[in-house]
Amino acid sequence: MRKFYCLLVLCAFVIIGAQFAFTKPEPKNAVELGKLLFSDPILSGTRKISCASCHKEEFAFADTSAVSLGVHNRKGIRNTPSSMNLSMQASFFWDGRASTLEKQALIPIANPIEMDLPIAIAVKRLQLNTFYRKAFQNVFHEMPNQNNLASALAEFQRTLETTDSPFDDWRMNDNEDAVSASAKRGFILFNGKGNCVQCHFGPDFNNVEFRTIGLYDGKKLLDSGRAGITKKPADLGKFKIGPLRNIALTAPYMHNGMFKTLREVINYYNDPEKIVPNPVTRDSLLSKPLNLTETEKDDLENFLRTLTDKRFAAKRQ
Amino acid sequence: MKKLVFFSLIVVALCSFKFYDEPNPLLGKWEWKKVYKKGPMAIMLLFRNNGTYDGFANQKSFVTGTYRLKKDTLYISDPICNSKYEGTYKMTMYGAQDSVRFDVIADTCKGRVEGANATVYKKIKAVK
Ligand code: HEC
Ligand code: HEC
Repeated sequence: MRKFYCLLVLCAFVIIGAQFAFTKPEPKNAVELGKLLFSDPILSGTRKISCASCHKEEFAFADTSAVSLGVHNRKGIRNTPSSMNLSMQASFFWDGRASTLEKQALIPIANPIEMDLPIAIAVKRLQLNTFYRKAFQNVFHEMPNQNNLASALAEFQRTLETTDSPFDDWRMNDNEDAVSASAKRGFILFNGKGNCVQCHFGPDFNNVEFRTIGLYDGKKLLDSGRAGITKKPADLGKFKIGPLRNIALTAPYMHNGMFKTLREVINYYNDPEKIVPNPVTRDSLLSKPLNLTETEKDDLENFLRTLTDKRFAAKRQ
Repeated sequence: MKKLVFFSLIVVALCSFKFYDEPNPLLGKWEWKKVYKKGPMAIMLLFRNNGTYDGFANQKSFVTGTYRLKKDTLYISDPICNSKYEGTYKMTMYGAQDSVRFDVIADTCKGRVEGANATVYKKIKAVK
C-alpha cells in the first residue's frame, strides 16, 4: 500500500513537472509573442530551423560561421548579421532590399535555403496551433495572419537595443574608468587617421549609405551587393555599412564572412590592395594604405571591443 | 602670516572673478524629443566644461566633437563633417535658461544642418 502511494505521488510529480516544462508562458504583448516565434522551428518547412538557429542570442543574435545552414543544411552566400540594434536602421540585409523590419521578417521564412515555408502555410500552421491561435487572439485580437506575424517578430527585434556598453558609459557618464587608455586612443584613430568615422557614424556606427570597401572583384568574390537590387553600375560592390555595436561578438565579418577576427578586418583596412587586389570598385577613402603601427591596430581593436553590451560581458566572466 | 592673507586674497579674487565671468549657459545635458520611424526618439546633447560635447540618440552616443561659444554664437565641429571646420549657429536661450534653440548661421556640413537647424532643446535637470 505504502509503495503504491509513493508511486502515485511520483507519478503526480512527473505529470505536473512535465506540464510546467511544456507549457510556454502566455505572451502578454507583441514583443513576448515575437520572442517565442523567433526561436520556434514551427516557422520552417522541416520544423527544425528557427530565426534563432542563425541569429544566436549569445553572439549578439549573429552566427559564428561564415554562412549559416538553413533547412537540409542548405547554405546561403552571406554572413548572418546581428539582429540587434535595428530600431534605428534605415534598411535591412547587406544589400538593403527590405525597407522595414516588418517586410524583412517574412523573407527568411519563405526563403528556400533558409526556412523554406511558404507564408500561407506558415500562417495556416499558426492558425491550427491551439497555443498560437489563442496567443494571437490575446495580443492582436485576431487570428494569426502574415501582417501580425511580421509585426510580432519586428516588435521583438526592436527591443534588442544596446545602450549599455562601456563606450556609452564613458561618453554618457564621463566615467573615465569605463574604457582603457588604449581604447581611448583607438577612438581617436577611428575618428581620425583610420577614416572609419567617415562611413561608420551614427548611433549604431553605420550611416544609411551603401559603400564599397572593395570586396567584389568579379573573379573570386562574386557578390555585387547593392547593384543586384538597383541594377545600377555605380552600385557594384556596394554593401550596407556594417553596424559596429557588439562587433566583438559577431565574427566572422563582412557580407561574406571572409575575415575571421577583428584584427583581420583592421589589417584589411590598413592595406586593402594587399589582401584583395584589383577589385571592381573601392571607395576613394581606402585608396591609400593607413600605415597603422601594431600598437595603433591594438588600440583600434580595443576601441571596437568597448562597443559590447554589458549584458554579454557579464555572462562571459 | 602676511603671506597667508595675501594668498587668501588672491584665492578670493580668483573665485569672484570666476563668478563674474560669464558662465557657460550650455553646460550640462539637453534633450529634444522627436519621432523617428514611427517610434519615439530622444536626442540628447552633453556639453562639457573642457570644450567637448557628445550627442546621443535614444541613449546611444552618435557624435563626439568640440564647441566654443562667443556671446550667442555657437562654433561647433565634429570628425564626421570635418574636425577642422566649425559650423556656426545662433543660440537663443529661453525662460530661466532651461530651453535653447539653434539656428544655422553658416555650415557647409549638410547632415549637421539637417540635424541641428531650428531645433529646440530642454535642459535636463541634474538628478543627484
Ligand atoms: C539560415 C539562417 C537564417 C535564418 C533561419 C534567419 N536568418 Fe536572418 N539573416 C540571415 C542572413 C544570412 C542574413 C543576411 C542576408 C542578406 O543580407 O542577404 C540575415 C539578415 C537578417 C536581418 C537583417 C539585419 C540587418 O542588419 O540588415 C534581420 C533583421 C533578420 N535576418 C531577422 C531574421 C528573422 C526575424 C528570422 C526568422 C523569421 C531570420 N532572420 C531567420 C540568416 C538567417
Ligand atoms: C568607405 C566606407 C568605409 C570606411 C572608411 C570603413 N568602413 Fe568598415 N565597412 C564599410 C562597409 C560598406 C562594410 C560592409 C562591407 C562588406 O561586407 O563588403 C564595412 C564593414 C565593417 C566591419 C564588419 C561588419 C560586420 O558586421 O561584418 C567592421 C568591423 C568595420 N567595417 C570596421 C571598420 C573600421 C575599424 C574602419 C576604419 C579603419 C572602417 N570600417 C572603415 C564601410 C567602411
